[in-house]
Amino acid sequence: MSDQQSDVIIEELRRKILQFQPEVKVEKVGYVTKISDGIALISGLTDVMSSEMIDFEAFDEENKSIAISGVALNLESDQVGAIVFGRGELIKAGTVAKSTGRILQVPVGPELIGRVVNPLGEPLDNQGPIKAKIFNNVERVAPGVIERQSVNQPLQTGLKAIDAMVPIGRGQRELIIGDRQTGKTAIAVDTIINQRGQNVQCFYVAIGQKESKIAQLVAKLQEAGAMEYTTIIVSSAAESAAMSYIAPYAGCAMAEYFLEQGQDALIIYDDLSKHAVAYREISLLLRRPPGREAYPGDVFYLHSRLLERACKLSAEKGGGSITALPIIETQAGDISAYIPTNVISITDGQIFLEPDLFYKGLRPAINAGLSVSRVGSSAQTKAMKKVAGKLRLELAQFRELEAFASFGSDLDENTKQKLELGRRLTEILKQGQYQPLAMADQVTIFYAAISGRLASVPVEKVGSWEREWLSYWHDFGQELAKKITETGLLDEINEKELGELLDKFQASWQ
Amino acid sequence: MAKLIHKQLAQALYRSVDGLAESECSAVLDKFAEYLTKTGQASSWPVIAECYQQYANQQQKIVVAEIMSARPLLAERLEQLSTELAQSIGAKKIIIETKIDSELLGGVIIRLPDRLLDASYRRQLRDLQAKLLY
Repeated sequence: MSDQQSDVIIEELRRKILQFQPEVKVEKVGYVTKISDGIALISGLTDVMSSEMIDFEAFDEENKSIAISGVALNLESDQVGAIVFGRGELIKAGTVAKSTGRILQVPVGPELIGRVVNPLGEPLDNQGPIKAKIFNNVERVAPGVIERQSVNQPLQTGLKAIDAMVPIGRGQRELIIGDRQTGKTAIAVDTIINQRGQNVQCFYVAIGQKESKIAQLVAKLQEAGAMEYTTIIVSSAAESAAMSYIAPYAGCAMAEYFLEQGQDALIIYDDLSKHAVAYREISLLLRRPPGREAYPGDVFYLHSRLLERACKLSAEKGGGSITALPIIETQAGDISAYIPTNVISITDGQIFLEPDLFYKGLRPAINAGLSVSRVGSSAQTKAMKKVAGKLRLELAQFRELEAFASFGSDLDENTKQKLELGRRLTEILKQGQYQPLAMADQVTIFYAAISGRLASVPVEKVGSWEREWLSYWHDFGQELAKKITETGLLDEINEKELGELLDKFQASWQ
Repeated sequence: MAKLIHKQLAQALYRSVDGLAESECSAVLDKFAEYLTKTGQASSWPVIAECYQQYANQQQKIVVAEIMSARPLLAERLEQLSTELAQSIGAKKIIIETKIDSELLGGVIIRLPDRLLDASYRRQLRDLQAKLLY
């Protein structure tokens, strides 16, 4: 470095130092009077707002200043109750707590795509710091009526049983509910994998889950190339209840960035039962009165304000959407427990998974009777609607007849046919994990079934028929697949062409 | 009868002795002590006394301020600080507790129950550091 350059730098520093005006800093502070179980009680902080972020001035083992944040939840006459994020053990009685005048914020934006972060937006994946330029409030009011439009675009899960019977639209809130080990997360993960090339940013919020399960899931998504458009927000079982409590709101704030950009986002909350339990813990520690099942009185609002943020914005607002797939774990199939009924009533339908079906090998183990989608059918593509309408009807008739048929064997020809078709339909709704199917592929399979072309295929061979047909279809039906995907129609010309292709395949299939 | 918490006991005690002459107070205190013994709370007297002190200070607009400095301050300087502080926060009296912390380098930090006035050289140097860095 030349002398001249260093002179310039020294001059610049001198200028800055001369400009510096020392001032007395007056800060509104409080002092921690008690801290236990991630809850701090603070005296002072007279002007603090509800949900305001609080900075604790703590010092680590080497006496280095370390910033720990918290959020004021309880405002009482002479003290403030706050939840603490991060290293709460460093906070002592007497620690200074400063109010910041801000609501808790998380980094948002494209920098978060492909990352694994904690609910505060801090990286957990050893891929360096996240250089986000924008921060969004964790808690936000959902868009109002005027800003929204009804759901009109499908969100393909790639699962035949869902896309046909309980279709999901972009901007919808569809609950996935079922006992443990019934394939709830599998549905969510398949849905993420199927969003490849669909222009949907995915967010997976893991609340109170085992780290091993999350690691597996990240590996699976990476393998499927799905991390290119996915962010994972993790509050594992080892984290404090405060982290679990804010995790879904933080994830939603990250998804809202893309909503505002007019893009589509998909967010999965896995799962909200554990979220409710975390909130119950916080509420009880804050000495709020317990209600049913010891949940606090505002546990409904806890989930309704979160899920209300999923929406489809109007064209004037950019037309973006957030589709939410909350997951609820039931105990012994009890959907009338407190949290399941709450979330069922908030969402626009539910996918109900049953252990009995799961063990019978019917996977995804969707109970077609209890699963509904209240708005998704208006978003289904015409082609899918055409085949799925008939499919649903046939399946409903099959379930009714099956109950009767088990009493006696003396059945007329028509009933026998219906039963046979029903068995094949049940068979084609089976689908392996991590094998989502494109819409056009699904349509062809359903079309083959309802047009009676599967009648000659033995029930136990439907699976292999499907595999072989799909490879045949991918070889010879590319043109038609493109047409169906682009127009979303199965008009007479397409139908005829598909029929011919199917007949050709059937002739060669043994 | 539900047990009263320490703070409530302290407030009740303050209200019952407030405005009484010293001679009358002892009768009230005797009764209070009797009540504590009867309800098995005699051992919590130190906590109640502390709550009493806080409540009494609050009622009489007495504010406890902790003044931290790098070196001991002169008595007249403390006196000046105390009067000016009392004026600015609207307190009748300021009780000053002093603390020496050489890490401040110079200047003072005044800790009030809900405010922190930081006029230490340490913080000013940190501010300058931040300004030079960014």
